[in-house]
Amino acid sequence: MRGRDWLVRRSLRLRVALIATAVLTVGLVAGSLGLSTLFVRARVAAVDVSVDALASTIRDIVAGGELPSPLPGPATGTTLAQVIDTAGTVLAATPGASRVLPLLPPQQLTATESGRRKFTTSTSTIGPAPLRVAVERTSYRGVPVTVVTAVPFADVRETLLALRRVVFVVVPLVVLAVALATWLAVGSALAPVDQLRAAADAVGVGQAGTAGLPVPAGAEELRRLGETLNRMLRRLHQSNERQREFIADAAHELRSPIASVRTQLEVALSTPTDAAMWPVVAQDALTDVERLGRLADDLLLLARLDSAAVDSAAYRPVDVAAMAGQDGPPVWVQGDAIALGRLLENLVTNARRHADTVEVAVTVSGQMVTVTVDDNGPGLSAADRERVFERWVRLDAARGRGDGGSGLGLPIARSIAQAHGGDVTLGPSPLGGLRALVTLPLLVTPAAGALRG
Amino acid sequence: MRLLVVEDEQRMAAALHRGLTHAGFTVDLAADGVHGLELATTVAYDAIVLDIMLPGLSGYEVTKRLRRRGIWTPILITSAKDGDYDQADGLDLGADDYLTKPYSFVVLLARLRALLRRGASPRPAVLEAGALLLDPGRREVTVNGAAVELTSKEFAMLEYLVRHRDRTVSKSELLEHVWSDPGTADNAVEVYAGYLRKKLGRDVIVTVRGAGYRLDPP
Repeated sequence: MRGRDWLVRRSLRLRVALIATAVLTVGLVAGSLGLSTLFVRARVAAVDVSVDALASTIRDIVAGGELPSPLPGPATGTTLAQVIDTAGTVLAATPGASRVLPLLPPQQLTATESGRRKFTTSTSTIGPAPLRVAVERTSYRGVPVTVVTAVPFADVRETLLALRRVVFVVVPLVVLAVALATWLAVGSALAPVDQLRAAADAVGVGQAGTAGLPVPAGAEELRRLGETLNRMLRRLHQSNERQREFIADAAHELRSPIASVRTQLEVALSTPTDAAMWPVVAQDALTDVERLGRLADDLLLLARLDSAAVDSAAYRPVDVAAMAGQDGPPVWVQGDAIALGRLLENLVTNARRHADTVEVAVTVSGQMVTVTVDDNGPGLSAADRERVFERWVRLDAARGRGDGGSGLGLPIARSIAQAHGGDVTLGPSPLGGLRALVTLPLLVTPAAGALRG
Repeated sequence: MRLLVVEDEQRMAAALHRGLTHAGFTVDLAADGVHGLELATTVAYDAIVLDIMLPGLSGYEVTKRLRRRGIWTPILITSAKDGDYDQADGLDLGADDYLTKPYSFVVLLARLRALLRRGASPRPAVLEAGALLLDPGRREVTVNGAAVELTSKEFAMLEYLVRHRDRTVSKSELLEHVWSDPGTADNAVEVYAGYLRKKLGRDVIVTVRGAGYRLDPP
């Protein structure tokens, strides 16, 4: 396990090279061993065929009561045969074999009781060279004799040794070459990954997505990875941009009341101001400071809604009907009472700014609670009805900023509704003006009724 | 000195009115761009303090329209927008100064005094010579509405000639004002005069023998 952990921590390049080399080494060694074994078996089988053939021929002749001298067989060939009696005297031999000295020492000759026994020996009387030998008991005219047939086996050994030498030299060379090739190939295949990594490292926090990462041209997987990373960077960049614009707008919105207060106070201090004037200065400054406070609250609330920091675990049943000042049975919604109150207040304040009659109604349809805020004001064009939900958008440009909102009221209302699983949309009102339509999921639990008391 | 203050924040406007009046100015107030433009066109003000984010018509638009109508009253733009391009845009459209809100009232007074010293002579943001228009802000040149591509040296030389189109400009004067390297050869001016003639037409730059060059607007 420790070895495996070590391997997992190494570079991918090293791992692939090591694993490929190891698998190849095992394969080549096993293959060479198998091949040499098969080769030896095949050679033995081939030698055995010629040993058997000669042994059978001579046994048949001897058993038939004849003992020609020399025995039939190759004159100088590689195949030798002797017929030996129980005393160890050579009765007959093939032309290439000795007529005096038995091929095998006596103890090997007597080991076989009957039938034919084949074995390989290097203790023959003709030298240390290995022989493939067949020993067979038979009888010549009633006398028990031994037929010994032998084929030199040296060429098999030499071939085998040559084969082993080749394996010992070639296998390490091939393993080395494959290790090197794998190392290089994996390295070049992974080079784009390193380029991606370097490029990603170079991406600054603020500049995500401005330049993009180099997309590897070759391998499909790496190309897709590059493209995916680039898409991610672009999304981050867009989100950054939106955030930056929002902050720039926020700074601008905060500066205006600050500028107003500063100028008011500077002018009041630098011009002769009688005692009766100071309360007016203070009141004006206070109005601007209050506006600043509301703006700060709105920004904070919006930031909380944006970061999804609204804790839905803290939601409690809220009676929306009572909140809207509507008589009749309670209508329960699971949510944050303060946020939902703010949602309604924003919509009603917005309507009051443009109309003199504002009506709020809460109805239940299916699983949804619908809150409508209708007014008899001038209304909005269809295009503007969606635009007013963008932050800082004020459509009542002709009215000036003094009595206008912060430009955050409707975006906040929508964010609150969406945080509660609902939404806010605008449409034409039966009163002739604008209708704000809030939908929220209805809470239907028996416990909710009990909470009313 | 009569001032126009275009400002949509009532309390800010009231404070400015009080402070500027105490500083000795006669002050008119406009709460939106349309009213501001109307007043600036009909009354001969000595300077205008102009907000950018205005209901009705933005401060940029008011500036552009005033200059287009040939009204050269000095304009001081005040805005809570402090982006580099917000300021550059305001000035390139023909405003004379830019002050970021919140500002110090003392600095506002000083800037107004500086503007009043300069007076209201024509200071077009886009230079005009016959059918030739040269916009230094955008670095664009058009002849009869067709854009002409110029290198920065060509542009600089043409701008100098346009700004002094009422007289002949000597070679040494051009070398001094357009080329920063004192070792520049005299014939650089001739070479660039040749380039400009090729791009604008042979007769646009007239050689005045022994004196220099003069612009003959197309």
